[in-house]
Amino acid sequence: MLNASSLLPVGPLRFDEGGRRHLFVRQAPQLSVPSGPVPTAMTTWTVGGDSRVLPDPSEHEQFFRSAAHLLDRLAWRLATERVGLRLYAAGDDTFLSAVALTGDAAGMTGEEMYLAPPVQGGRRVICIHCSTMHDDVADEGLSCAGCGAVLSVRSHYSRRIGAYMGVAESAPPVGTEETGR
Amino acid sequence: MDGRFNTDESYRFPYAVRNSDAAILRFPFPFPEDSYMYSMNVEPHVPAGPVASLHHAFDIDEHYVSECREKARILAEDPERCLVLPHMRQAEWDFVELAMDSLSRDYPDLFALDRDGDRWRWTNRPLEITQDFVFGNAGTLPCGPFEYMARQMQGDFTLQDQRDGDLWMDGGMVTSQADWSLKFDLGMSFGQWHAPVPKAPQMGIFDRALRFLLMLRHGHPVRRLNWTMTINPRLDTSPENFTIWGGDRGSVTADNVADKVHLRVELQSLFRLPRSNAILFSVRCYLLPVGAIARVPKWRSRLHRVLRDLDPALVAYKGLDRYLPQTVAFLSRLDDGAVLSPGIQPDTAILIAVDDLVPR
Amino acid sequence: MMMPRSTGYPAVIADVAPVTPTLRRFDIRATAQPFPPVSAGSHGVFAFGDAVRTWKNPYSIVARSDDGSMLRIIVRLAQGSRGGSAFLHGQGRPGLEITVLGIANLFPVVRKARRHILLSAGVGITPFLSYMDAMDGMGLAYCLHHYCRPEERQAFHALLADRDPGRVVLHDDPDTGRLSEILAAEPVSSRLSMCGPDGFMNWVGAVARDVGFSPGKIHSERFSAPEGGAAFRVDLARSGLSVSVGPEDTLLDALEAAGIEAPCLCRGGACGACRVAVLSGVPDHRDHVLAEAERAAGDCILTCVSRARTATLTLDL
Repeated sequence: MLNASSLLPVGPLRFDEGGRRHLFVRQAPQLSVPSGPVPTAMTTWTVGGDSRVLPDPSEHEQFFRSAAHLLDRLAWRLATERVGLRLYAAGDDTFLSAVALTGDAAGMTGEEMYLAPPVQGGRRVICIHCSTMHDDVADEGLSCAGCGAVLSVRSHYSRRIGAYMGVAESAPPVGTEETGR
Repeated sequence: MDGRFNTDESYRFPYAVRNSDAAILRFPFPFPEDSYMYSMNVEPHVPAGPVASLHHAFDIDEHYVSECREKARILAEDPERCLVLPHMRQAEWDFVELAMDSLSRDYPDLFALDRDGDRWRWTNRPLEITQDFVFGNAGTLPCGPFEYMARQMQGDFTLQDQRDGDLWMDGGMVTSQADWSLKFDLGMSFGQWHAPVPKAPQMGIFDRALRFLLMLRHGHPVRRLNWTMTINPRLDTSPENFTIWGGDRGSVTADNVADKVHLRVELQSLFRLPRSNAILFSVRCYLLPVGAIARVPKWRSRLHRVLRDLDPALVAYKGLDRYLPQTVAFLSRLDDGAVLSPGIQPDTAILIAVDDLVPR
Repeated sequence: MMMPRSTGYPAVIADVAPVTPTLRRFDIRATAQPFPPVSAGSHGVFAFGDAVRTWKNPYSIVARSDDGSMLRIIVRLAQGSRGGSAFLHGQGRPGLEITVLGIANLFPVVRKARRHILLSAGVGITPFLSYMDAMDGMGLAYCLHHYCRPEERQAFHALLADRDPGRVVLHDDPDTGRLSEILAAEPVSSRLSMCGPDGFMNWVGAVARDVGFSPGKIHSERFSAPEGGAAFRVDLARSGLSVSVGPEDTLLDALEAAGIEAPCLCRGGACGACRVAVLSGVPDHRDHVLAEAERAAGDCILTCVSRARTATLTLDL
């Protein structure tokens, strides 16, 4: 049956035997690698959180200074990558959103990208009224940092934007067009 | 359509929208039975049907000029109401051809299209536009081809790319929507953009609908009616502007319900586009206050019964809870309990005078 | 409003030219309204015949003239088929009336993908002739690898002479190692589309999966030429009619001849539009649409190509 959901598809990571090269990107070293027999052509990219780190292309595990650093290199890597790659990602909602966007932009499909369940509960939310982005939103609601609207978070996710929709619908402003504001 | 337009209407505060008796009688009333549940209810989009609004590929009515003006204002306020991904360029031209062919054929007094090979001249008399351009050459139009044409039509349009056994909303112009956002839903698959609809997934409706649409044939468009309710004659009930219109839902009283509460009907028609194999969704919005619906005895009784017995999950999804009681109370006084004919036709050619709308 | 054209587009054959000893090109001219624009990968269902019988065969549309006056198809002389293509090769001369019953696309270009590799064999090149025109127009990157017999090489070389030589490669030797190298060199964004005999597509599909193409990036279109079989009878539960299907008839043709409005689209077992519920009897499935479980359940049939294992079938029509 059709999956009537717009949420990022996440699930436990397992190596895809259909792949010929495997790249696992993770936001922290303690996030575990996909399960199953480890393929020979497998590389792990890990965020190190240290400005002195240099990724060593000769190593099976390479470290990056930050998530932004890793994602930047990922876009470069995918631009020259050949068929047969499978991409796996583990991290928080913001990290996974960014990996999915990078993979999508490179022409990879859902069959070639696997995302682990996000490590923290927080979600990435866009204010639909003013486009301000909010990271790591733990609750069902928040105040928009941009326009002040009291947002509730809909269970509706845009992969293109990389965020859930926040709408000021639980507490619409008292003033309406007619009563004036 | 008699060629005359209500040119001074306002679809935002202070509201000023009039519906002539003819406009009321051609309203695509969406309830063929006394009860409602979400369904596919698809039929061929042929120039026939129980109300006149169904009789053209793209319906033009007395609100045309005012609606196009409102659309232009919304686009000026928020250009992201029109977005088309680059791989949809051929579908844009498909849309231009379908729209210009259909309008000039269905309303020769209002629109004209002269084709000389790929050199086309488009004339839109109500909006006072004459445009020479080269079909297929976007540089010869003042803006993108899809945007150019969609600005000259009532209602919303989206372009669906067909690939990987699914439909993807990869373009559109959306300014009169029932609480969904194009900029948010752009690029989504059929299942993804329908995710917020309650119950329908469990009923398997989307599976069947998608399978049906994937086989949609050029030259055989289909249509369905969908509905919700809106406070005030407001076209732009977008999530983006919820902060502006959302509060109106708490403003309904027994005294203003007849004028404020509108039945909002979407005439959704779907066309296979021949060059691109994309599918055009045309979503034409009609707004009629329940006070005007009450002038058709069959419609007011049926609307009363449908709303009275509506599934609570749909009430919540459509956001009706804050004014449904007042609306049902208003209509219940006008429902004599008579058995109503099946179908949506009004069963009358003459409206009850407003002054005669006394409660029974 | 566009009206359903149940009668199709009347046309005549305007020009015939040989492509190879088994392939013939037909240019078909509309005699009433022009043909509609056609998306790359579309097929038409063409009705033609003589006083004795009419065939309704699907063929890929190679090209449409800008003014809509002309469609081009390429037809293979198929041995052992029900004979429509043989009729066209034998009797398809300029002036022969031919009706385009409908046009649909079961093999559309994935426009969102920037890079495409196309693999064809024999008459399987036909959809890719329209693909390449469309991709040139859209600025998409592609490469066609066409496989043919050595003696056909010259003919296909001539057919492709106008194309960018950097984007077209002819092979007269199905070398697995070479195909594997070609496919493995594709960028990660590449979509693979293939068309040809079943054996060819099975071979390409296996090599593609072996180099790591994900199944969703391997696109194909499989038509079945309806083949005859034992005669059988269908009882129609709703209308109460009984219809005999002769050894050379298709079930769909027999239903239509009996005046039944049976659904259909591709007439080649590729789309599933003609699916009808089977109430009793055992179908003989010959389509490319139904899943294994649906075949095993035996409660539906695609009337355009499939037949019966039992002497009668009861259909929900």
